[in-house]
Amino acid sequence: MITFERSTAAWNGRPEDDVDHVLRGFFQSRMPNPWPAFTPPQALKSPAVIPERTTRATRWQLYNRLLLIAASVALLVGAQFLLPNFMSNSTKEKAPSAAVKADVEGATAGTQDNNKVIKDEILLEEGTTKIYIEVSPGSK
Amino acid sequence: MKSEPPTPVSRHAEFDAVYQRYSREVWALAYARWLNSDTALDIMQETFLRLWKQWEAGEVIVNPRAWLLRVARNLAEDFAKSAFRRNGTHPPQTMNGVKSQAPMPLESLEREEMFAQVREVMDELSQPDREILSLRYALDYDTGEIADILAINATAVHMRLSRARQRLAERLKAQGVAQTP
Repeated sequence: MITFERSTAAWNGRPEDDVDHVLRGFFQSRMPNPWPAFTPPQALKSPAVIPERTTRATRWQLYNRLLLIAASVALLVGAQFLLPNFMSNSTKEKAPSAAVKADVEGATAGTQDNNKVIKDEILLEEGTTKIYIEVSPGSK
Repeated sequence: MKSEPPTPVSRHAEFDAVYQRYSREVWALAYARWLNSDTALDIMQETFLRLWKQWEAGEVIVNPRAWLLRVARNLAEDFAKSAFRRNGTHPPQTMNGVKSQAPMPLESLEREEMFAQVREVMDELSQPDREILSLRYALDYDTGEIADILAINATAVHMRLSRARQRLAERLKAQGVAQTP
């Protein structure tokens, strides 16, 4: 048989009954016993000092990254200047080999006219064509 | 006359007095929310920890009791939001069913059986009703004290308490609760 500690006290003028005893037994059996004391947290220590070694390493990493970025930018800028110059030089060297120089003076020996020498010179120069015609003076 | 600032020792003593005075009330309200003793204890300790930090920061709390109960209620609700994260789909109160390996005396077994019935009824009650029951039976508070804590009038306390008791009595009678000699 279950027994509960009876309380002889009345509540609001009403003597307690079995339900009251059951409820009291229920709630009070759930309460921590012994009642825990409050333990204040320890005072916060001074903010953790980051070891100097770690700080130095971190700083060096940052500088490293900045140097890398600067070098990349310099390379890009330099390439912009160097590349066109390289391209133009390459084009000038090709021009002479592409030049067609026709000396009509020798080719037309069979029909040479003592009074007129036609000298054609065609020179290809970067998209332009120049024709030189020389006419001897005194031709009629 | 210039008043001396409170020393750490005096501040600790004052805090301890507040703790001794109100910690059980805070526990009782937290227990009414979750019907779990360990959870209620966690909430109670966290509540006083926050009060401690406020005091350490130099905050002046005019009504510590009201402050404590408000914070405890908020923490109990916050616990609800995190319970699923901690326990998955199993609410904390399912852990109450864990029993020890050691055999219990017959009387203790019957007692726990009955308390399980009480807990089932408590689950069906509203939180305000549970708070009244908790303050009444865990701390033996009278109507006036309960009304003061819950900020309701004494008549409402009496009505709610009667209704909850009636409901419990019917359930216990249906279950054949052993009568005390």
